[in-house]
Amino acid sequence: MTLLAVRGLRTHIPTRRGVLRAVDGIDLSIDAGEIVGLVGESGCGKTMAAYSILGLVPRPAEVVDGEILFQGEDLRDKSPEQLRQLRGSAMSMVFQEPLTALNPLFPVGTQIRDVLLQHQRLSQRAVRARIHELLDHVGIPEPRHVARTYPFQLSGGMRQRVLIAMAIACRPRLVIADEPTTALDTTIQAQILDLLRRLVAEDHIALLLITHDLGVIAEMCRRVYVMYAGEIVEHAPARGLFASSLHPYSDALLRCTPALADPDRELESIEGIVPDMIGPADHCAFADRCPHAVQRCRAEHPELRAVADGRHAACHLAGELTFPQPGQAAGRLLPASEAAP
Amino acid sequence: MSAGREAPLLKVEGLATHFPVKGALWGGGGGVVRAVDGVSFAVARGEAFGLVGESGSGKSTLARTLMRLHKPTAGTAHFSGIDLAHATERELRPVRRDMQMIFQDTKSSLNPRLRVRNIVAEPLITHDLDHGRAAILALLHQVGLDERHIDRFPHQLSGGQRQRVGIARALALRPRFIIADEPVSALDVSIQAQILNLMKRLQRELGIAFLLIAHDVSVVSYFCDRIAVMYLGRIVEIGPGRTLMQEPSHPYTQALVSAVPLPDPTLERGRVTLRGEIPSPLNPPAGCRFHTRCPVRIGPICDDEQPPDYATPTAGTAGCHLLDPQRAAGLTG
Repeated sequence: MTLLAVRGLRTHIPTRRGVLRAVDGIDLSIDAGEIVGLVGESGCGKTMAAYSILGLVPRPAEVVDGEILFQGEDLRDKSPEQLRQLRGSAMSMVFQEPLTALNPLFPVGTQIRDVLLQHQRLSQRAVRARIHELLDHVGIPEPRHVARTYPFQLSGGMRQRVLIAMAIACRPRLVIADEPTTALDTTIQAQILDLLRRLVAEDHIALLLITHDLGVIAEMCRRVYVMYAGEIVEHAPARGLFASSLHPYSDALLRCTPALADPDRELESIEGIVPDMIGPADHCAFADRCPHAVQRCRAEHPELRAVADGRHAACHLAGELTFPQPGQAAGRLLPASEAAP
Repeated sequence: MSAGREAPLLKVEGLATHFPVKGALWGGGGGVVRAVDGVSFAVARGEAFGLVGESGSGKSTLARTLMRLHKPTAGTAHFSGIDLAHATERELRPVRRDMQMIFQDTKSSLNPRLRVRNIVAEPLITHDLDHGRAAILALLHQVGLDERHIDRFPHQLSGGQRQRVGIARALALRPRFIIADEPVSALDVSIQAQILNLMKRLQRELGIAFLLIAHDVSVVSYFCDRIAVMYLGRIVEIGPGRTLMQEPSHPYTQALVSAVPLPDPTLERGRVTLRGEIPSPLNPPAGCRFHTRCPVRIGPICDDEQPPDYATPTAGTAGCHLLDPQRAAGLTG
């Protein structure tokens, strides 16, 4: 069942030079118990899309069009107070930088308590029990002790676990995680990804995972949305996307990611820079950097359309061009257990 | 590949950098942070050598020690016949021309008040060399910039362009060795690829040796001829860039590699998830540094004895008791 369905969402920011189309007509959906990826480079609008869904768009940015159906109701019709009640209880967010997302002046237990009491009526004793239960649930050893510590006393991985505990405190249906592991070390990232996967399975949460890391997407997600310059340029099952992408931008992104299994493959780079998203959307935003661009790409804006089963791309040439990927599995990467001496 | 018979460009032996910690105001004893604790490796002329490790492994302290931004506690680091660890400032001056550094954060490593031409000219002025417009332009061309960028300020450039300026500045004195500390970790993947390819071209065309420091295993294995893996102030494994990450020998390297998310959803991998986090370098574990988290710890020997470096199947070395050939013989025979 579709938990969240976003249709034609537009979030614009007025600037001195004109309107910046930070999010420009995106469609996106996610079911309960599903992990969906939203991937793109910095400035492509992924975080603004998340803020738009949660009703957290900072001024002067504004959601100007579209609908955000959450459990069948349009969040754009809700009052700020109604949205505040939904946030933290029915839907919540995990941020990238746990040190700035936590208040440095209060013990982490207190901060989890604040979230709980915002949405639930619980006795002192019940609150304490729930805090310890949550910390334990996210894999924190000695929850009683950790609840009394301040954020600066915890490592980055532990802080991120605390933030995840806060996000799931009131048993939300939807969690949006914005680059949840980007600030973490590789082995700690693996721990946090395992934790998120377990929570989705056990608590039947819908997880929208925002990241720039295609490796994280491949490990975690069944479906992927690729975002570029405020638009979704490709939407596909993860296996399909990584086997052969339909949009030249997805292809370029995959080709410039170093492959551990194949270090000899030359990295290709995307020439040019991301356009500034100001001015009318009357052509393909990727046309200037696209090696396959034709006349039509500069004259007509491509809409996201179904190309094959479950596969969508916003490209005039989609279907005519496909981009089989070099394939990471071509190089052999031993499972570490087999390589053990 | 290592240099064969030719003397290496940089030879580091037993290098250690410790930082004393003062006792806290409210009592509590001081101590010593063993950031780098007995590290040995060599970099050949023109080689791309990688140093990979997680935060707290000591890789940046090692780089800063080689630049003599920290005074080492023990060990030697020979570069062109001079021991970087013990040379005086005066003796170091000619070396500084030969060794340059590229930094992670291009916002703070470029002076925001200087234009690109002044930034690139600065090392030339310091060493009394030609810093005319033609010389600056030639350097900018080498890194893929041109006339349009020469009069700009850093804030008028993108992150990738700023890193190119940082590289141009490093190239100005025609160094033989560049230390690059996380040069691409702040950049988007598409820009990261541009910078890595640029560095690779400079290494090949100008024969510059690189010490690339990064936390990203994929980046290091793409760029480097040889890689050293650091954990808690020590090098646990060294091997060829092409194969080390595909056939890791040390249990930590294996865990690190298996934790890297790969962009291929069809790949079924056994993952070694490490428990806990890297211990404090203030009080590192005795014996093998990794024994507190090691999934294949043998027994007391790991807790008590620091493993020596053993040969690995990838023609490298790794410090793990499991690789002791006598032990292997004993187990099979």
